Amino acid sequence: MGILSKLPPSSFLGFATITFLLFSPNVSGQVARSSWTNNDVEFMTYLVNNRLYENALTLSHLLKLDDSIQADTLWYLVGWSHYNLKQLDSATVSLLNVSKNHSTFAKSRFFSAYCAAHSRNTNSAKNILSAYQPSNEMLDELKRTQLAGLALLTKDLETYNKISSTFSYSYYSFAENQRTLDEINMSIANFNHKSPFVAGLFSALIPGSGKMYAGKVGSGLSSLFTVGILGALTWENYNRDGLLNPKTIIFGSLFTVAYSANIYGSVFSVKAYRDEYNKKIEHRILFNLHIPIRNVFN
Amino acid sequence: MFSTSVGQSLTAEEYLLKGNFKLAALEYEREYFNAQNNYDRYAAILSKTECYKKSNDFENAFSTIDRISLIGLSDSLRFIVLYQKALCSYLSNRYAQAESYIQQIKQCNYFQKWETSVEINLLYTLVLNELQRWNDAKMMILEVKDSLALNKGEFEGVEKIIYSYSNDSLPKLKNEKVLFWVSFIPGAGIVYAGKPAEGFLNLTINMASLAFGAHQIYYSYYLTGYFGGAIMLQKFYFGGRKRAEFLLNKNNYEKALYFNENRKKEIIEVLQKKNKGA
Repeated sequence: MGILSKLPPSSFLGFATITFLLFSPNVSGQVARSSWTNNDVEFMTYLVNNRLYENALTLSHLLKLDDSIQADTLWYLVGWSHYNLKQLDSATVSLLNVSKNHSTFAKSRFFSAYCAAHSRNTNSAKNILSAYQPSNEMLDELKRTQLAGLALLTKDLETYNKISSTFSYSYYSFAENQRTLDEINMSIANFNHKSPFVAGLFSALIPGSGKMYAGKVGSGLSSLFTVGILGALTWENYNRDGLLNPKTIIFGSLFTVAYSANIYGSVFSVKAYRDEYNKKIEHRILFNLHIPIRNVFN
Repeated sequence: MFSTSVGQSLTAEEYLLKGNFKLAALEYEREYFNAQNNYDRYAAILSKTECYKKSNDFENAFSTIDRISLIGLSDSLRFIVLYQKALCSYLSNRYAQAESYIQQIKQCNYFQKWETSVEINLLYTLVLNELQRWNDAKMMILEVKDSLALNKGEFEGVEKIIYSYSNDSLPKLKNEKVLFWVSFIPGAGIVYAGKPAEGFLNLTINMASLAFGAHQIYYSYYLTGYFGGAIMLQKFYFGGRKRAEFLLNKNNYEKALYFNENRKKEIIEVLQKKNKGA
C-alpha cells in the first residue's frame, strides 16, 4: 500500500470525499505550554524561511517564548512572521524584543520602527529609531533617512530640512528614495490648501465653480449643468404661468435644493481634496521608507 | 512520525482526533521537516492538507497540496495527489483547474480500477455543474450508473440524480444577447429578466416622461419639454437597461446555485452510502 499505509485513517479517499462536504465542528483541545528545544528553533526557522508564517505563529503560541534558548532568534522570527502577515502592531512589539547582541538587531529595529509608523504610531517609531545607535555610516544615514521621513509624515518640514541637509545620497540602496522624499517635502511646502469659504462663495456666484476650484472639474461641470437646467426650467414656467403654477413650484424647489447642495458640496470638496492629497502623500512617504530598509536588509 | 519536541503533549494524529486542526497541521509540517525520505514527506503534506480541509480553510489546503510536484511520483501516489489537487481546487472555487486535474486522473492507470472511478466521476460532476456544463455533468453521472461499483442503495441514489438532469429540470438561464436586443423596448428587458411588474412600471414611467416632454413642446414649453421630458426619459430608459442586466445576472446566478446545491446534496448522499458500505 506504500504511501497509503502512512496516512492516518481519516485520509482514506472515500472518507476524505465525504468529510470535505460535511461541516466538521472544530473542537479545541487543551494545549500545554512547554519550552523550546533546538529542534523547535530549527523548525521555526524552517517555517519562516518557507513563508509558512501562520504555522510559525501557531508554534510560537504553543511554546513559551520568554526565557527560552535563542530567545532573540525566536523574537525575530515571530516579529518577521507578524510583519509578513501585515499584523504590524504585533510585529513592532516582537521585533523590539530582539536584543542588541543579536545579528538581526539592526534589521529588527528598523522594521519595528517602520511597522509603528505604518500603524500611525509615529512617536513610537521616532523613539525606536532615536534610541538605536548605528554601527556604521550606512546604517547611520539610513536612520537619518527614516527619521526625516517620519518628520514628513507629521508635516514637520523644519525638522525634515534639518535632517535632510545631512544626506550624502551616496548609498545606492536608498539614494533614489532620499531624492523622492525631498520632492515630497517640496510638494508639501508648495501645497495650496484652498479655502472652503472661497469654494462656497465661488459656487454661490457660479454653480459648480467652487468644485472646479477644489480640483473636481467633472463634478463642477455636472453641478453647473444641473443647477443651470433647473434654473432655466423654473424661469420658463415662472415667465409663462407665474409663481403659483405647480410646475414653477416643483422646478423652483428642485432648483433651490440643487443650488444649496452645490454650495454645500463645494465646501466639502475642499476637505475631500485635502484628504486625498494627504492620503497620497502618506502612502508615498511610507513607500519610500519601506523600500530602503527592504533593500538594505534583504 | 511523532513530534520530537520535549514537553510536546500531543502528536499530530492526536490533535487531529481532538479536532484541533491548526495544531495538527503544524505537527504534520513538523513531520515533513523531520522526514528522512520523500514518501514520509508526501504523507505529511497529504495529512496537513486534510487538516486544512477539515477546518474549511480551503485556500490553505490548496496551497499545501500544491507543494507536491507530480514529476517522478509512482502511479498510486500520483493518483492520490491528483485527486487531492482536484478536490482542493474544487473546494477553493478553482473549477477549471479542478477539471484539468481530473482529466489527468482519467489518464492514470489507477483510474481503471472501478473502486475509485465512482468518486472521481462524482467530483467531476460537481465541477461541471459549477462550470454550468450540465449536459456534460449528466454524461458523467450516466458513466457512474453504468459502472459496476454501486450497490442497490447507491444505484437508486444515482438514478435520482440522473432524473434531476432531465431537460425540464435543468436551469433555464436567460441569454445576455437576447436581453440586449429586447431592452430597446423600455421595460421589456426587465420583464425578460423575470420581473414583469417592475418592467411594466418602468415602461409606464418611460412613456409618461415621453408624453410629458411631447406635451410641453406642443404647448411651446421648449425648455421644460426638452430638459424635463427628454432627460427624465433618458435617465429611466438607461437606468432600466442597467437594472435589467443586473436582474438577469442575479436570476441566472440564483437558478444555477439552487440546482447545483441540490445536486451536491444528492451526490453527498450517494457517497455517504458508499462509505458506509466500504
